[in-house]
Amino acid sequence: MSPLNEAQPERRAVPSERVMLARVALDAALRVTGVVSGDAGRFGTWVTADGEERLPGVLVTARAGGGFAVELHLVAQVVPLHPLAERIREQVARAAAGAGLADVLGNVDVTFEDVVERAEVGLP
Amino acid sequence: MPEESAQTRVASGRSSGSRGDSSPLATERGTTTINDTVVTKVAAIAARETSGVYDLGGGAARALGSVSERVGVTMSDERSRGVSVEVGEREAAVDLTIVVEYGESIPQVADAVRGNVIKRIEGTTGLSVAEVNIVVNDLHFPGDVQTEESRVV
Repeated sequence: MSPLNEAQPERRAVPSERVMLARVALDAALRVTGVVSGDAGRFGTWVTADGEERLPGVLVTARAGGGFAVELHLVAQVVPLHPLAERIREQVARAAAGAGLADVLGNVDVTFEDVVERAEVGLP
Repeated sequence: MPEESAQTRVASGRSSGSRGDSSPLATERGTTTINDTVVTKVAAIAARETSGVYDLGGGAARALGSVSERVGVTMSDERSRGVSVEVGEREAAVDLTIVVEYGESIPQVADAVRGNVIKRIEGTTGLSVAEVNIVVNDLHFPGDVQTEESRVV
């Protein structure tokens, strides 16, 4: 019988395509001016987990036809949200292409869960 | 489709918009969903920033808010009290309860609130605002709190 420490599964050094896409999409979205944070939801269901790490506000799911659909749940500033969503999609598409994930990127659905005023996030 | 059903919750008796129009919130690259909380908050911000509005909410809600503030507990929806919204696929309807500064013209304040709420919601969310119903619940006297009879404008 092998010792207990040898029985522990080794954590993958390279994350899956799904997790990489989640990280790329969330990072890209958070870089867009007007986006404040990701929202994990009241029950913490809007997260992508990679072992111990949690990416709050992004959910990436495999599509039947191949590739992945991305759901972003975000908190934004009080700005026009439709143009903001378009900028987020563009930024995610660019970032995915830069990471070599353009082929697996499907629809990017953006949900604005809440808004905050500039003063609430310390902006003048 | 779950998004579709979640996005078409407009109460009967209220216009739900032309179904043939394409929504600016649905694109080929994905959909944009705006939570009711967002519309509620934008409506609250718009109402509060209108001149002549002292506060939002009914007497009980404001009293509860005052107590929670004194004991140092901030309720999450404190800033949105007195606001109720119904959000459809392309339209929203807003119900507001406000307290007006004594001396202001209530019809003018109500008109200003209505205009600002419509402008801010349409500008921020892209939703068309079908109606803004306003209940003036109280008047505020400087240095005094006195209850007046409610009145719908």
